[in-house]
Amino acid sequence: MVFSSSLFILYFLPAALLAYYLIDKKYKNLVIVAFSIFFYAWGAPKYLFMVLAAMIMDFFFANKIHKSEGKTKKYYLVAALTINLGLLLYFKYFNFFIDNANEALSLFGFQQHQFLKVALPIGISFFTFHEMSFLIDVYRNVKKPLKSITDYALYILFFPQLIAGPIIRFNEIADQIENRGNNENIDNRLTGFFRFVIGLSKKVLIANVLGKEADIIFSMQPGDLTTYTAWIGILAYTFQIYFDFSGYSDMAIGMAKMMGFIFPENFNNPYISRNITELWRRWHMTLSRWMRDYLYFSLGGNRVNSKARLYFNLALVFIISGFWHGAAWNFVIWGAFHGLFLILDRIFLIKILDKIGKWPSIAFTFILTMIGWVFFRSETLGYALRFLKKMFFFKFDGVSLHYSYEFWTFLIIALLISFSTAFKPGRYLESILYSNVFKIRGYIAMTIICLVLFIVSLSSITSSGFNPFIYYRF
Amino acid sequence: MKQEKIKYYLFYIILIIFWIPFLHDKTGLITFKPLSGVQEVSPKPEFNYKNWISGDFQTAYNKYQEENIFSRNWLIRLMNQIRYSLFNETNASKIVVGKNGYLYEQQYLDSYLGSDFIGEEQMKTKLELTQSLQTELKKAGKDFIIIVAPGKGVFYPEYLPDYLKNSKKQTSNYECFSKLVRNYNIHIIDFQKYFNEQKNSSKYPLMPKCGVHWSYYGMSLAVDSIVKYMEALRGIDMPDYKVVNYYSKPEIQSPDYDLGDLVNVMCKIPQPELGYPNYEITYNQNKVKPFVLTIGDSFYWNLYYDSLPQRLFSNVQFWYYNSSVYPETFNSPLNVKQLDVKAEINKQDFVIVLTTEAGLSNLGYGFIEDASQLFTGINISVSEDIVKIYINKIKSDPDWMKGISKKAKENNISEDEQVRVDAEWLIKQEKGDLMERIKWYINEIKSDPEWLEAIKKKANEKNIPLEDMIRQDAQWSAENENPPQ
Repeated sequence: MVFSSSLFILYFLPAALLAYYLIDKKYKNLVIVAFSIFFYAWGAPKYLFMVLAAMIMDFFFANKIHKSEGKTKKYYLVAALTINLGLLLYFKYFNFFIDNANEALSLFGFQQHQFLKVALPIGISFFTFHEMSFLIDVYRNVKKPLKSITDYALYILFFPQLIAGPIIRFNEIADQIENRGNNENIDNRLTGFFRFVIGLSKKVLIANVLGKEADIIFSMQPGDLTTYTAWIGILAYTFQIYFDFSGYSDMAIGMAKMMGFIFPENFNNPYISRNITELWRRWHMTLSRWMRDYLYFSLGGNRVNSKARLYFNLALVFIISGFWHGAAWNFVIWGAFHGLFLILDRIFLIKILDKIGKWPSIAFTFILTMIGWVFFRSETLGYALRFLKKMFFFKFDGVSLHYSYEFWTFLIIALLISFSTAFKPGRYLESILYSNVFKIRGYIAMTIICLVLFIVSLSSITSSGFNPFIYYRF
Repeated sequence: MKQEKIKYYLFYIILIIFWIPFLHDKTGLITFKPLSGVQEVSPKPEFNYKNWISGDFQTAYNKYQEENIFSRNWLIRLMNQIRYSLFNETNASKIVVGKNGYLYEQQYLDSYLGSDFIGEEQMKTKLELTQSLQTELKKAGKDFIIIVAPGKGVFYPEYLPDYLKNSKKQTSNYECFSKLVRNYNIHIIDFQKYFNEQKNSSKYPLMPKCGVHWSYYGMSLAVDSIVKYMEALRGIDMPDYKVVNYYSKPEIQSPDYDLGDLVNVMCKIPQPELGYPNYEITYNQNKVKPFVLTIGDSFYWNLYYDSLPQRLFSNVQFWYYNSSVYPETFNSPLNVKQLDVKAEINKQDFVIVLTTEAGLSNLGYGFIEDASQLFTGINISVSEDIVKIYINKIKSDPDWMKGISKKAKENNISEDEQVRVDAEWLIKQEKGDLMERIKWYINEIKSDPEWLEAIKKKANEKNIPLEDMIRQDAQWSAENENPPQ
């Protein structure tokens, strides 16, 4: 059940909210868990029991970790992490490993092995990271494990963030699970709704429109592309993925807020970044922080003895990040691409970008980011390389496409929104839209604006069969 | 406190709006104007464990729910209105919004731009066949007429969106047809040409802004020309056809707004004033109402809705796309395949093929080929083995098979029969140049004394006319020079 479907918006969410608001305080978590289980059972019924079993197992392990000390504590952690990672590796990467093994076998003239393809349970990348965060935070004594399995189930299965994040570290939400009375107020309910609608509009009105053209262009044979078409395609995709993912995050943050949960921000105007290092402080921030806290720091972080080891850690973290996004070599290349520029930033690039000025550095970083997206979007590495060739080796004969006024309008809107916060008025406007509290006139105005956007978004969803969600497959 | 109350009221409003669809589904209090156009309706899926686990139930229920949510029609119209007003776009399939809100059906634009051009050789073959059919029908006492109704692509090129105007225009079927038809003696009434000539001086639009077809005004002028042409061709005096006056209607008469309806916007698209005719048709025993069979497309319906064939002809035989037979199909589906086509043709005085620029790629929708077989004696059907090859080709094409079920229901025949119909049509398209080769062989035979002598002997042995024997041999030679793949 995607958030931007009428089934979710007009049936599931109202039912969940109404049940949540009406039920007694001591049962609120149970209501969330019940609805979250139903949400997952709707989308992936085959894997529900696997998810519940993994969740119960982790709850058991966390308690064991909390009560143990020394090596025993470590063994429990290792065992739990192995099982969790094992499940992730099996479901997400088994097909990839087998396909590559078969390629290697056929290269050496051996017969390929036939295996049944493994299906991917939705959200496995996200809830595995949540489970790992819980176990590691308990191990590090950052937080005690939750006493109630219902509360733990809420952390893992909470439907706003279950299938596409934000990735909430356990220590960020543990207290709120047990006590969020202060956050359950009318201001959060209203601003949560505003945030939800802003996210819905970003996804449905901007991302979907741009995504249509991006899909058309990326389905063309590279031979048919002109340089112009290639650039339009990657521009469309660059904004599609941002508005799609940040829109979805806004919806998740908004819905959680309506139920008294304050989620961390996931995006902070990434395209105004002046270098790749800054980009990763603004893009999918919860993933960056998770990788930093649980992988990068475990490898030694910045406190390693040599620069070589530091750069190795950075590269490894980003290759793993890339691989986390998808079981294909182009995601690995994408991760490595970003890792490389993070290393170059540390060596010399940031100094140069600082010197050339704000706008040239923003433009340079934006183009680098777009190049990275070519790898991310392409089905194969070969296609990505040929697409990039078309972008940079000027070619003017090919299939010419017609772009509608609607496409150009939303491309320009996307551009303006993405870069507006590089200016003071843009930042001011953003602070208003994403405010946590308004004056009464502000509430009235925002309610009207958001209701209009809500109806228009619903119209768009209803009238169009084209409503994909990029991150759903994670 | 007051401010807190206002905040709560705002939130209650939000919750009510969230809950309205659910409440409406249970009470059905408000209904919205239905949408125009054909829509696929998904049935409510049945829940069972197997369907749930496989995800089929959820997929089907999502679809069902999307099609049945409260105010769906209103929401769709709202989005369509926004897209139409702001971006000159429409969600409607195969409809293009031109300048000033002029609507076009995609196939007419394809025809105008030449995207469906069949080539000069194929067009010549079609015209050859048409000419020979006309000749044979005349021998049987019937007059054969081709009527080319106007298409919007050619009629309103000035309102085409710029991206289409700037795209490469190739030779179109209509341009080729117009050029070649002068070399034949085919009875043609070209309303595309006539309408283009009258466009700037006509009192009312000859084609509506938001309709596919000729306007009732345009059609009334066309009928006047058709009647006069028929009278002159056959030397008869048909009922007097006269338009007394034209008047405006508060509501646009169907199908003048058929494209506008399909766009499904909230506010009706403004139109130039359309004129609707008041007819005076006088008939007495000195007048002749001929028997007329018309094979054509939806342009015929304008005449039908104004009861013109009913008042001008003795019968109203209309074969819609050479498939559904009217008026019989109004009561119960009847397909041309179920008729004795030769017998039906023999009942008529006139046989009219009504086409447009978009129909020229398949002039007559197979009727000319079928009738040619019956009247010229030239059998351009092929062996069963080849038909089977094409049947298999169609059955292995999932996209083609999707349309077969629907067409079979419309034509009231089984799916297997429909597959055969489509296969035979495909074969005919590919064998279009067969007539040309047959004609060549006929000339070869007649100019080769030895060959001619051999054929004379065969004709005597079989006791059939020499001309028929020459034709049969020519056909055999043409079919066997390039064995089918």
